[in-house]
Amino acid sequence: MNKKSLSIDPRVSLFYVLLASLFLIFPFQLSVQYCFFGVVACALLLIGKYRQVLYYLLIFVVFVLPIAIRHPILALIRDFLAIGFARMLPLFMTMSLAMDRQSTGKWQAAVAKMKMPSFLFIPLVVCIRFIPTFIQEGKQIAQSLKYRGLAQNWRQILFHPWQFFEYFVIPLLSSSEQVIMDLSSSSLIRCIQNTNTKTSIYPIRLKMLDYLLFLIGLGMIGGQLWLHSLI
Amino acid sequence: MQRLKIQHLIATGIYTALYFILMALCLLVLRFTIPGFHNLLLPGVTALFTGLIYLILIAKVQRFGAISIMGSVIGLLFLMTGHFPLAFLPNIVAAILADFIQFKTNLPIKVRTMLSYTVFSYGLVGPLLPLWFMRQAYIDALLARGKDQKYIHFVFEHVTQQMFIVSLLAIFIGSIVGILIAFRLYQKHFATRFGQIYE
Repeated sequence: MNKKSLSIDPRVSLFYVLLASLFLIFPFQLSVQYCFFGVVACALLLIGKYRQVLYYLLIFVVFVLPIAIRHPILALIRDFLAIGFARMLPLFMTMSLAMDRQSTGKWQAAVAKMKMPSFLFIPLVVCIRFIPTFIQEGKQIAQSLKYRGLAQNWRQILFHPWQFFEYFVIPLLSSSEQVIMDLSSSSLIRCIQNTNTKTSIYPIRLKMLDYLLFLIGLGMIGGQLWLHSLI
Repeated sequence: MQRLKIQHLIATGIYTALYFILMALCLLVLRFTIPGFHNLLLPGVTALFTGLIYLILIAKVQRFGAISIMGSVIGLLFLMTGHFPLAFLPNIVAAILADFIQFKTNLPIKVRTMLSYTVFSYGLVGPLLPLWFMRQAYIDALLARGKDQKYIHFVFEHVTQQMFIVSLLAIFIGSIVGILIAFRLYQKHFATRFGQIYE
């Protein structure tokens, strides 16, 4: 059955990714951070990513909440795990929001509307999109190396780094060739480099939900500035 | 100047992703082998292992702009992953300079590539510079994030002037050795595919 769920404008998703980056760079108040988790989780629920919300919620409860609970026993977890998760979770969540499975065409239309320079945007999007793919491919290469007895443990890798590097990186580079060819053909068919004004089947128009999310995001920045002035 | 085509931009994006993964792998290995020094030596070790990706990028996109874009995307990724806001600037500057050396000078190809890769590798010091030059602001940011004095002491224990020089030297040695090994690997695996550029 084809479930109908709401969609979020790519420009709002991008705004939230940038907001998450701000969270990483500047020390936002915990209350603002928790508010951000809540808003992004709700947005993910609205676009139908229930399972991901469950995973993020689990990570939040196990790793992020202990930062607020200043219990001495949890200090070790807080130092080694919690801070890392607390820092990276907003970024992962907003990336999930941005990487909607059906949104490639929508992103293309949104970028055209934003008049973003394609020489920077295309490599950035390709890079972000393919980092998880190559990590997966790297795991498979590592497994097949193990299967052939070439890199069975960390000791073997540490003592023969160049051998491992050659066995690991050359297949990865070769498979990237295929990816480049496929993507290039696909982009040629879609005439991405054509500078003429293009139409899109995706209507890029901000809806009520997008305005609401945008305002909440701005509200969080305002809230942070206000709380900061109180301290 | 020849404009970069869409396939060149895609190739740049793909090789930047591979560069970033190798950098993350280096960080992971260093984190467990030399904790405390891992951040300081990361640029040097990354330069040692990413030379081949750099060579293939130049071989595939033989135009001015690819290296600059790669550096800019890495800088943007640093920004997105929560590094210091100005961390991306050295990346962009070093990448443009490396691009200029690679495609606008008439030095012998091997010397030119070696020099441009060394300059490009120095861009990776961006996230480290605040440790030395904006120490107090960095400590304040760590404290505000809930990190305790013990952690801050652990971070700054090895951040000395001597370590800064060692870090810069490591990048120089790492990039030279890395690119020399990359030349050999290129000749062995990719010369037939992309052409005998570095004979």
